[in-house]
Amino acid sequence: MEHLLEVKDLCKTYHTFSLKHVNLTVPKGSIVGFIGENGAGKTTTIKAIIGAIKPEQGDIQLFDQSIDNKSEKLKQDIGVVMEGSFFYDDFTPKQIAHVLSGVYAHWDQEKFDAYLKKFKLPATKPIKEFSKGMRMKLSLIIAFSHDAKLLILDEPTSGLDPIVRNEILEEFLAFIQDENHGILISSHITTDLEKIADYITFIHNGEIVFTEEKDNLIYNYGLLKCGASEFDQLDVTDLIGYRKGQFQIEALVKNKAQMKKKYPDFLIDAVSIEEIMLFHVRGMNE
Amino acid sequence: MNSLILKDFISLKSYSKSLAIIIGFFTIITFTNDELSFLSGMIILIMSMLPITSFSYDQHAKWDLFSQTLPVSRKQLVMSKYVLGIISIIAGAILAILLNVVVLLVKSLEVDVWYLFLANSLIALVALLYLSILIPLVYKFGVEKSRLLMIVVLAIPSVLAIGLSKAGVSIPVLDEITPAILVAIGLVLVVCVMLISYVISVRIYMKKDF
Repeated sequence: MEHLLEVKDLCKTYHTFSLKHVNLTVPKGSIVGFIGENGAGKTTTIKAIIGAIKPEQGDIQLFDQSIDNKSEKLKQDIGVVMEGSFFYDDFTPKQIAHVLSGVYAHWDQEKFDAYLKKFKLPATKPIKEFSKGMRMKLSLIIAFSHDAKLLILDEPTSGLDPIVRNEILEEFLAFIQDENHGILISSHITTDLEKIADYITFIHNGEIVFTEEKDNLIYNYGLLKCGASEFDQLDVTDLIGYRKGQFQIEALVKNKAQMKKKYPDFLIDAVSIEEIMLFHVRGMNE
Repeated sequence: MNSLILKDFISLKSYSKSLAIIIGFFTIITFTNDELSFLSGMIILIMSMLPITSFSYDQHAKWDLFSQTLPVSRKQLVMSKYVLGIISIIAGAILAILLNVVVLLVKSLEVDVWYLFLANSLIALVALLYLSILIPLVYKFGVEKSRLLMIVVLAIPSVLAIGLSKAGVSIPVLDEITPAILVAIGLVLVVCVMLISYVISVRIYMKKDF
């Protein structure tokens, strides 16, 4: 088994939006960052993976087995965090554990209690009194306590303060130390993914724009800067997208090394994932 | 599936206080007006609404989506609501019988347990029938719209019954059979209706996107 999760050719049509032939994989031992603007199709894709929506086309495999057949069994080994959907507000962590211990075959109550202590979460307080960060931690504790091998997290760090965010990112890195584990994180906070992701899959308007290794992405792409008058010297087909300022033009290029040879007089800087995302969206709109 | 029912009961815990107050209130009223069947009817009706209440808690927490992340099937989710309803209604009937006995004893009236059992069983069967109609409606239209449908579903048989009796139509068979046979026939009927209702609910729920 190479992949923990494999999504092939996923299609789903809504009135105003559709997922078109989405492909996505989470290899063993890796963190895959799933990026895209709000409404690009990240949550819809994740919903299809967990079986909350029925796609029109496509094959989804968890641990090399199609989810159509025995998705309940396969869900024993995944931990999913969806924003805003959880137990009813009056539940305490203790009650949640009580319910889930009957649902998960590998539920480890000692582990759960130990993690509650580690994250300083009160076991008997209703979750409506929890902050967003505390809820997120509780969701992660649940995933760890049933021995999940694959975490699927929809916007896990949005709305959290930097300290909690870093704490959680560190937990992700610790989780991935086991080579049989993997994480799919959807996020529009690309700086978080820059820190931890091994692969980046970028979705825009329901279509996958690219899937690349994060290091390649940062190494290969470059930000070309030139004055407005020099812009004519550029071959537009080399540019993925560009931003025209009053005096300066910034353009995103692929194959940084090659471009440096082709345009030796131009300055080509390193680029962040956020900028890559922005230029792709802008370039495609034009 | 036990865990799913447990989850519903924990959700309903905060609701149980108001439930106890309402039932206490009706019990006190019964001391003054001696309407034992009214007390039974109210308790069992209120208890039969517990699954519907649990649906609104579910909606509030977006449980439908969250439950999809758990290793439970949609069939189990639907089944758990029916079992919750059966448990609630049976518990309601037992509670109603006990409170009836209490009222009768306090007023030093004769306690006919067999009669109480039959009368409350009949009410419980009606409640199960009612619930069997409601649950698929909730799955189809959502819990908010179903609150209105609840009243409609309750009103139709009453209107029919009143209409029939006004028109002078009587069902002679009903006058001849004993209450025990009525309960037995009712039980068979309710089991059939519930099974059909369950199959319909599963079909609706299987197709849903969250």
